[in-house]
Amino acid sequence: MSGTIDPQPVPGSRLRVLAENLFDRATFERYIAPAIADLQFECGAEGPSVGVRHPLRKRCQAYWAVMRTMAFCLVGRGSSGATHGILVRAGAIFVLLTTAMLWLSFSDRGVFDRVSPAEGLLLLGLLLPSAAAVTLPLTVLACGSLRSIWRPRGDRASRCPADVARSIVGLSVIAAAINLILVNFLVPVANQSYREQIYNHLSASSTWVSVPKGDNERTFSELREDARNLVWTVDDRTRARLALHQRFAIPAAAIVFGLLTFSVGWRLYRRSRPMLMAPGIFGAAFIAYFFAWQGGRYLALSLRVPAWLGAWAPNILIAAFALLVLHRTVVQLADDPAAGDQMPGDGQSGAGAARS
Amino acid sequence: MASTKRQRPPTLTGKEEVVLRLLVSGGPQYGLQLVSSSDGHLKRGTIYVTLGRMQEKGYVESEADPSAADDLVLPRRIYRPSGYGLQVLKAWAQMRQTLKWEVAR
Repeated sequence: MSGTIDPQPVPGSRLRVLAENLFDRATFERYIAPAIADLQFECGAEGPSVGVRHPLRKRCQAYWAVMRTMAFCLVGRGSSGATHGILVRAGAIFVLLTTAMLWLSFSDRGVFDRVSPAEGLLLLGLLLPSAAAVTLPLTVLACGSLRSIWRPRGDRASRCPADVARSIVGLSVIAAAINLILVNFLVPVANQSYREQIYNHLSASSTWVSVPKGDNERTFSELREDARNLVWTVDDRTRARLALHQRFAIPAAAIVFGLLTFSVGWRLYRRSRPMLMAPGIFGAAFIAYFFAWQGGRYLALSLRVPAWLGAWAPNILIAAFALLVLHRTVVQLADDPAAGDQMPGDGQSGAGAARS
Repeated sequence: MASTKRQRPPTLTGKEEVVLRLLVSGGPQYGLQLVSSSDGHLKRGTIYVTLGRMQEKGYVESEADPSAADDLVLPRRIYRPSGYGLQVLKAWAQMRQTLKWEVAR
């Protein structure tokens, strides 16, 4: 029995690391740390026998208390600058998109005056999945210019952007995964209900009329059948194929925007350029994405390029630009590792600042 | 921080009053102890937020448990009422008593 025993992981240690990254120091110390300390006390950090005395239910309650405290702090106060900035940006984009969608859809068909408040709320609710689907990639794009993401914390070793890269990759993957579910399952159903609501408002029929589905309203399996249907014309099959590819291209945009956010942000950081340049670059990237989207769609529907290329062209374009920027930054870093070890706005000392 | 808050008339929510009373009657306590001694008036999920806010208002003071000497484990936090908190509790009780008297008349 001379072998060493592996130390047991301390309960709540991962939660502690998460909270330390999410919240500022004062909030962590005042609100979260006491909750985690009680959790650790209760769940037996002080000895292996404690696990017997405290069953699973109590452990779940302890974790639940910490999670609730964190949720309170996240919504109400004290989240770190980066988290707060991401939430504010996401909220602003979401509200703007939803309002714009509602306004466009009503003003287009002249039904604004004929919708009661209750019906308006229902229509608004049906628009939310679409607005959320567009909000997620845009949030990833918009969060790249957050100063707090790029602000170095602690010692010089933490200036390595690996932690920033991890945050942005994590955010992109989560946004893409949620978007994949939204675009493939929730949005088609909500869109179809929305169309039927609007149509039945305008129709003179006293009975409920079901409206034929468009490309955005078809389910994934319906689109796949349409794409293989040989009875249909080439145009129709291409349209179905395009819609099918777009179901994956839209969620993938979150990852592509994450790549762009990281590469542009890192370049600005290394070259000590003001981070205020980032929103301009991201705005231009979004406009380029939009035009590439429309262009790809047009070229695919006119059978000049394959459907997959039409759908993925915007992502390919943005990813190529992001990789180019990343490549240039890495090459410059290899040539002159000391360049730009200065944060933007930190003063004018340092080789990077002098060069910029 | 408490001095800026004192320029406004202090307020005491129901939960804050329960916390202060428990701290007065039972002495300095941990958050978990407060929950268990409150007979269901305080919930575990909200006690830490309540205590944090009370600390910001200056009603309670806290210190890390000196017996904890491990870097991996966070020290538990012991709460005790501050002098200001005791004054507010006393004034609050007096005001309530006065209002009850006025309503009864």
